[in-house]
Amino acid sequence: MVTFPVLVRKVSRGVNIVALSNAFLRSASIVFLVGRGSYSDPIEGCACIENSMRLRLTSRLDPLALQASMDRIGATVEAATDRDFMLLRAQVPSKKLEECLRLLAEMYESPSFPRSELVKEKASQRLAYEKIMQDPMTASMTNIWKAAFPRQRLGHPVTGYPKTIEKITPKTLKEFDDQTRRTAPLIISIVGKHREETLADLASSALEKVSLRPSPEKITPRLGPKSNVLRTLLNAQQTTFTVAAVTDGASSPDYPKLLLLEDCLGSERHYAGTLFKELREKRGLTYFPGARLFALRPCGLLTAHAGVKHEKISEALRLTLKCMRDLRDKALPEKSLKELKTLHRQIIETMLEVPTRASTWLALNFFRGAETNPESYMSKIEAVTAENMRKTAEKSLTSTRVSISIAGKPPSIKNLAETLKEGTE
Amino acid sequence: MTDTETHKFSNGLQLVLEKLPKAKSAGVAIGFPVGGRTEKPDVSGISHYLEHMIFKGTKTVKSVDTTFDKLGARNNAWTDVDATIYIAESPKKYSINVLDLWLHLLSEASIEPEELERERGVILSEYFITEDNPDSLVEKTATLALFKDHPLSTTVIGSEETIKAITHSKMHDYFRSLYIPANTVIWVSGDLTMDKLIDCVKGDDYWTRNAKGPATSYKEFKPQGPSTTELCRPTKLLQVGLALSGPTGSAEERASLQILGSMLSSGQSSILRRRLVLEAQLTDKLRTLTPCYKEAGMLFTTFATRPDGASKVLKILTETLGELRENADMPKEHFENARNHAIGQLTASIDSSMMWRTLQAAWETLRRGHCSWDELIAQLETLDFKEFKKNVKEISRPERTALIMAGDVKEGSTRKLRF
Repeated sequence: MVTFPVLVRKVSRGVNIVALSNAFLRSASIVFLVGRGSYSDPIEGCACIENSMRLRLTSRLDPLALQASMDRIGATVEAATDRDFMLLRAQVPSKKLEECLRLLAEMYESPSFPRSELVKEKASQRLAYEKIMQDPMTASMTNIWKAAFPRQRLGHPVTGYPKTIEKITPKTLKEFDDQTRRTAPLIISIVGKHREETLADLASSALEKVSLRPSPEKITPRLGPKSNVLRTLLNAQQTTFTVAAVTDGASSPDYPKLLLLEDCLGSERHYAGTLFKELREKRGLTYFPGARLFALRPCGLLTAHAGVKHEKISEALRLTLKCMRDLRDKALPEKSLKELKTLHRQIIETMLEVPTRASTWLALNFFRGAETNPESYMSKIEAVTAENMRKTAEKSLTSTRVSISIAGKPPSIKNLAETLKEGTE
Repeated sequence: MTDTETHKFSNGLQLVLEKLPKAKSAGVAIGFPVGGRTEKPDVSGISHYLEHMIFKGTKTVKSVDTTFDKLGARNNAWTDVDATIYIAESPKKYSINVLDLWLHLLSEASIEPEELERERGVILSEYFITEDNPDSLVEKTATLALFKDHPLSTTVIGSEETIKAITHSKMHDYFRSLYIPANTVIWVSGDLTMDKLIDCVKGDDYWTRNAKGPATSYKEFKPQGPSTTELCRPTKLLQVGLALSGPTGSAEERASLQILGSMLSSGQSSILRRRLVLEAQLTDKLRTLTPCYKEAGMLFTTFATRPDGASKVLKILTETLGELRENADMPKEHFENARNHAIGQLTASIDSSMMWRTLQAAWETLRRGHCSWDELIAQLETLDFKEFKKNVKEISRPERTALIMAGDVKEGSTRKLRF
């Protein structure tokens, strides 16, 4: 394993800094991750709106002044919200790192929720929801959470729904923010050319005022008695399906096995997995088959997706379920497992040289209880055996844990439920 | 500062090494000036289709992805209107093997008829994704609408009809005539030495021979706009695209296009972000691209809006373009902020993955003959405000404008538009 110097520093209870040094970078990346997301929404869409408002203005800087401050230092700043976190992420030329840290700290510490700006942000979020729902791919992927966790807080889209977004008021956001400050952990990850101690010092000095008493809300998924099928009807040229199995989360000992299962099917790290081979290379059914593991701290979803012509849905879905079932029924040959591990290690090493990817990986792994030290992370991957990987698949790929979300012109629910039943038995 | 070393083979092949002494990984890119602009209209999409076929292997390398996997490498390829580039990133120790593998695949690709047929389904699936996604649909239409009768007027992916019309013999001939050493640029970034790279290229006879292909001819672009394109689709939202053709050639003009991109739409405080997102809330976000082809540059921005906001959007767009043309009162502070944003974006993209870094460098080399990150940053840093304003006046001329709208648009609804 190539060595990457990573430093973890505890600032106060619930506030931690993770720093990684890479001498040849021209830019630095910083992530402020707050451990509270849409799962904790008092009204669906609240966390997402609150986080976007941070990117819009602060109590000192109006929207124009804040946006100009970012451009002045050449920073690209994004806000992202998921079920368990809200984050602000910036990439900035190295010489402007300190200014960028101060700006992000201000955005984090001094949010402002004036009604006039909230009205605009709500319009923006409704539009974002509509955009997701008019595209078969994003609609299918978003709705898989609803299918896997029906009538639960994990299930609703992070953006909320147009009707719930409408109900959010400045008071809702203020109360959510107060509660977040009392309960949610804060992780700052920073990647740059300075030594890791220097990076941590810089991050620490930007955060002088912050003091948290974290006792984060525990996410408790409930598994239903049966699998679910969710259809979204769209006037589109192709239909996209997403199949998901409920798994353990990133803090579980199963996490390294789940990562390799994801690679085996075809992840973002390694897209040419079994789905790519079976659906695309052998049969030419689809352009983008793939798998994604969405691992929160206590639970996750191992998903597989593909977009195909409407008449090919049954064939593609059966094949996808077979690829998943094979993970459960047959242990991977030792040689293949060894190759998968080597590839995983090399891809992680390459990824750690990219500032935004590295800072996000560090912040998420720290928050969700996975390894942040690359060597420890890889030693856990190395320890996975073919049989315990199969057992992990066996635990999740059961008829009650697998659901389907499908968008476009899908077959009937009855047909889909039968295919799902056959495919998981 | 980054250090590059170039070796030009007698057959025209250009090999560039970007030396990164502390890098643990390495990137390899191999590019050809082959894209939409080199295609005949009846086989539009053949360059992109060929790119897919390269991944089908050779007589000796049957499974391309497995072979890359064994080298710990991630690979990909990109076809644009003017170039096709194959890329990979890997641990440093395997980078020569990765280069060797690409050279083999790009000279010995089998392109079997059966594979060609199977891949047609994949290409059509990709085509339908772009049809189903309004953002991609508008993007692929932008070059078509903006460059009109010029060879840059192409969609890269082609149409359902042309994809279906591509035969095995046409594909084979296209491959053999255009993937030749004289056309090739190889860019490698990493902690490596030029000697080893040269040896690797020389190790494959194909890349040292003096095969001649058709000379790539370039044509001056003359703006023919303004144009408006309406794409009727049953979507709830309306996708709007605005494309401006930029002059190309001099460093000042090019830097102006990049900074204008930041000032108009990609910067956090850009004019359109301010007006459409922060003030009128007509959209949630804008996406901007500023490719600089050899014959012309393009500034393209796209966003979704509700149909009832369309007239306001069009008013803002036309007013903004008018202000850019009459830019006597443009505040210098806006220019400086946009310049810093453009530098930040360039720095961030240099620091992105090795694949992306080498892809951009190979593109730049194919289009301009060389690439130096420091030079590109310096061009942005030294651009004079007066020069910028002069260039912006030119870029925002109505003749250089194309507007594309996709969604439930009434045919002819944009015809009255006056830029």
